[in-house]
Amino acid sequence: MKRRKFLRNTTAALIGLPAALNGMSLSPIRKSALLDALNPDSDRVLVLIQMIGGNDGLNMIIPLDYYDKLYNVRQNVIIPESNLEHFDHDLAFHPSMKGIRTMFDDAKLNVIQGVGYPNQNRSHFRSTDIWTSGSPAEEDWSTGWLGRYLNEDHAEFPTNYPNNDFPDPLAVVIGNSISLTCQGEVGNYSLPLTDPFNLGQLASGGDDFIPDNLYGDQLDFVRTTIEQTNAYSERITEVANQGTNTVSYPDTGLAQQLKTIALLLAGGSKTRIFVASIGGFDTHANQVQSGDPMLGEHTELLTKLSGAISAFQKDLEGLGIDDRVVGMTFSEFGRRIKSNNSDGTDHGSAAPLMVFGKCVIPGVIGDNAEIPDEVGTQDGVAMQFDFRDIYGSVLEDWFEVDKEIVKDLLHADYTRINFLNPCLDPIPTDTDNPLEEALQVNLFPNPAHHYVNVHFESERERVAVTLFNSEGRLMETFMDKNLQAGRHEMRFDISRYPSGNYFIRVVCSGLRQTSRVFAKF
Amino acid sequence: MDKVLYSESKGSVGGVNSVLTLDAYSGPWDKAAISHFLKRTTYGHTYEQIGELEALDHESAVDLVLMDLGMPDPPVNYDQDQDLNVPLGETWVNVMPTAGVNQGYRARSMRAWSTMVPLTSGLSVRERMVIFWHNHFVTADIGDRRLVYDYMNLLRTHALGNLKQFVKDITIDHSMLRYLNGNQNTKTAPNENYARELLELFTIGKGPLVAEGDYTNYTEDDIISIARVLTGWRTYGFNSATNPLAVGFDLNRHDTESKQLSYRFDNVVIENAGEDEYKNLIDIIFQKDEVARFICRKFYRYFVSDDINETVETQIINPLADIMVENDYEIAPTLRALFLSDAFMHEENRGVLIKNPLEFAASIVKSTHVDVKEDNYLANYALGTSLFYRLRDMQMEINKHPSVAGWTAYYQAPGFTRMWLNSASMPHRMYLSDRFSKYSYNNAGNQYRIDVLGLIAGFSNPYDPNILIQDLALLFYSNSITENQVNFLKSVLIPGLPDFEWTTEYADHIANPDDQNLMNSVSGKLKDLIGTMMSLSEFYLF
Repeated sequence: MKRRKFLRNTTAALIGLPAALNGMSLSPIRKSALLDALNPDSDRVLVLIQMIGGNDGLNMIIPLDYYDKLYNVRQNVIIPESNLEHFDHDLAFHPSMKGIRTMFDDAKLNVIQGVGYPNQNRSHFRSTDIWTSGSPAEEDWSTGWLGRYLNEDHAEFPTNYPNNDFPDPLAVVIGNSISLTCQGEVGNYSLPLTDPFNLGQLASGGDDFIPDNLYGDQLDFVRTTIEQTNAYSERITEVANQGTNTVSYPDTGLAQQLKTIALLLAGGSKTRIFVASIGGFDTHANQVQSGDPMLGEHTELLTKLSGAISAFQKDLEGLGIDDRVVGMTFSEFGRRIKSNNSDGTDHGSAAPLMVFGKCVIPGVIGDNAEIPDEVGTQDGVAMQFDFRDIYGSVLEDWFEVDKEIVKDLLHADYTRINFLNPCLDPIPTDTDNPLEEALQVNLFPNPAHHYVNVHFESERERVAVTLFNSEGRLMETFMDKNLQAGRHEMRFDISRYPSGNYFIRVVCSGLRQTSRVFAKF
Repeated sequence: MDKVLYSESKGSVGGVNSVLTLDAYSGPWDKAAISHFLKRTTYGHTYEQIGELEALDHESAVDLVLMDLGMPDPPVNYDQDQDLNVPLGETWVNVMPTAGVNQGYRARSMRAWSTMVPLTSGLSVRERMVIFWHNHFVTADIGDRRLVYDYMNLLRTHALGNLKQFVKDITIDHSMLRYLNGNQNTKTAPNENYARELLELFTIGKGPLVAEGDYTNYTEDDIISIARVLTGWRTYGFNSATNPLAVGFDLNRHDTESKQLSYRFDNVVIENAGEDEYKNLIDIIFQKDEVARFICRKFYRYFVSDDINETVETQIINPLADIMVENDYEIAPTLRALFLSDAFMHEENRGVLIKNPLEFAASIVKSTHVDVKEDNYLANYALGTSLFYRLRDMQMEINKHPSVAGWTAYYQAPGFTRMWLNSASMPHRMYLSDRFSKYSYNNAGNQYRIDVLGLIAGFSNPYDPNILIQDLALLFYSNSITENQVNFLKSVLIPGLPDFEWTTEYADHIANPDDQNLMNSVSGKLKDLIGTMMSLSEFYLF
């Protein structure tokens, strides 16, 4: 073993450090500059909950101001208004989400509406790839968004891991396979785990002298991987043995996954990223029981989701670590506004996303999903927030990553969204989200026949005005440039597009507003 | 975050090999050389095959593995009796789906077949090339398994054939047209998906971005023009119980205007040629020798080493690409030159690749003659389905790559084949080798295990524990093991006993083959030895 360590050091000296960092997508110069940017002492934890299949956001968080219009196009699946859990002035949860509703009332939940991305892809596989990699819809990235983040500080992983500073896996997925969110350039940072008390040790022994050539390097790599797997297994069992849960969890898959996460954290795990998942959201058929929308698959799923999350939150509070943990849900897409004839809904576009924990800024961000008078079969909910801005805000506000790095990891146009605070006590008073009203967007005529006028206000800054169709596809960037401060009046030609619902999105630093326009020719 | 298909020498590893070339290998054609040769060209070679090739010279051995095999029998229905049009044991590949019958049985059949064909293949590089091309021309199981079979058939047909013709055929392959949206590519709404991958992944590769939209080998405008060339293709009969599968060309959807390519393709103008236009396009792309270099780099990574630096580029990739061009993109002569080369055969390049899960499984199951019940399709297919899922757990799912760029192990610098191994995949690998060696792999009422006594019966001298271990090392490992390792392995075989005790016990068993107890104790020791050898890091390399 000593021989190997010696070799590695010589190697670094021979080749030089920049070379060792090279081959990454990030330049060595910028890379070394940011090594100090991450806070190594932070013990903050992110728990991702993937809702696999495409969650029907319109049946989870219902815009009451459009209830009647929604009712007209999804009578067979919509929950009767009187049964809804009314929680904000014009929003209601699905009735099975009482636990989550209580969390909202207790200021431990933030709901971000209309989360998606431009050019929504409606393939499960592709859209999941986009959400896990954090790529634009048009590009195929082979690394995950959290993998790139971890790569900032752990570029040499898996070499020399685990170690004294990082005795635990850098990310843990509860399940059988690694998570693409944690795919790095060299390897995957996540360790899949089902039962922390049932981890075997891989056989080892018979290792001897390693020759100083490529074969020796590969041999060394395999040995390291075996040692690492064993070391992590041992450590996880040890940690799990030291932990205890403080509440009982529902007997559901997701709840048991979150229970394991709480147990590991209680036992002293320093893992900061956990991924849990719940499948079954692809509710093309039998989303609700025929004739009784109160029952059916989606009700069961949301019952599980709400029960698991609220038990987890109580456990974290019982353990006294609720100021260290935030959770976030995501799903590859929402579903269409119109239901189908099989008591279900088909693949759609944007959907709400939930962030929970003691350190969220409670409330609702974004406008209610707007339901037009005439809904096309293909229409989904319009995007208001790019999911990469949510990811970026988690990295910036929770993991304290520098804004410029966040832009590098996600996208150049990253704009922070204010939904997390570092659990400062008391909560700062200026926690109001930048209000969309500040842009004062005014759009007319509506319906539009040839041109649409867009009026808005901005500071002296870069402003982008884009057009999306009802499927969430980016049709046109009308404008993307620096403007003088003041009120702007612009007119855009939309006559070459077919009749239907469109969304015009105005974005400038930190502010955005999406407004619907109906084009009729 | 672009897919990296060519990068500088990885630099993250310490060992540096000397400069090897494409010149013919002049080292000894001994057992170690032959074992290496077979590891890299076939799946799960056997001890006996090493002996067979000793009787040949290197060149004859290369010609032998380049001989094409016959086509495998098509996959059969093995597990459901609901489809009256496809009785049990019969193939479904030319039978339309039957209305009202769940077609999942075809998916299972296809998975089992795709797994077992390489695991039962003969002494040929063909099956390794099928997986190479499967990773090169990526499509997925998109729902109608007749298409998956047709696609696999195309890969097998062209595996050692002509690359130019291969690209032409894959361009209008039904599953490819669906997978990369070629069937939605029309003159009014061009879809660039296939055009982009045709250049970036299938033929010339993406070079460095040197100006906006200019990737050295082609430009963004070329993608737009090429998409227009490829307009008009349609697919019919997908999953239909009444309409046959077909690919057709619809002139009304085809863009009949002239298409101008960029200076990267010498500003060539492609005139309308209707349904033959794609052939002209592919001929134009293949005019560029960079296609040969791009493909030869992938050959090199797959067969030799993932360490490509400037020297390798000049000494090996360029001359190999020249051979490919001189042979008008025939694959077999190109591979022939590679397999004969010093770079391919040299000791320094032995054991520098990490086995992919299929190669790993083959070296457990096939190198050791595990009886996979080829004559009993029920058992064989059930085993194939089960092993398919083992491969998936080890992160290699056939017909479902992580993306159109293929498995990361073949393009992701700097790790390359290291991408296969991590804390997640490792326990699955150990499980597989443990089951087959130390215990048994149980599936559908059958037990599969290595016949350890049968395995060593043909060895040069199974009575001598040192020679026995060396022979196993020859079969399982790429390089010799150290004295300490031999001693360690002997301590597993005959803990605390002198060598002659093995000789005595084994001779005793040979003399008394009917003594069940004796046989069990001898084979128990061998299982420990072989299981241990399969758990050493050396076993993961080839």
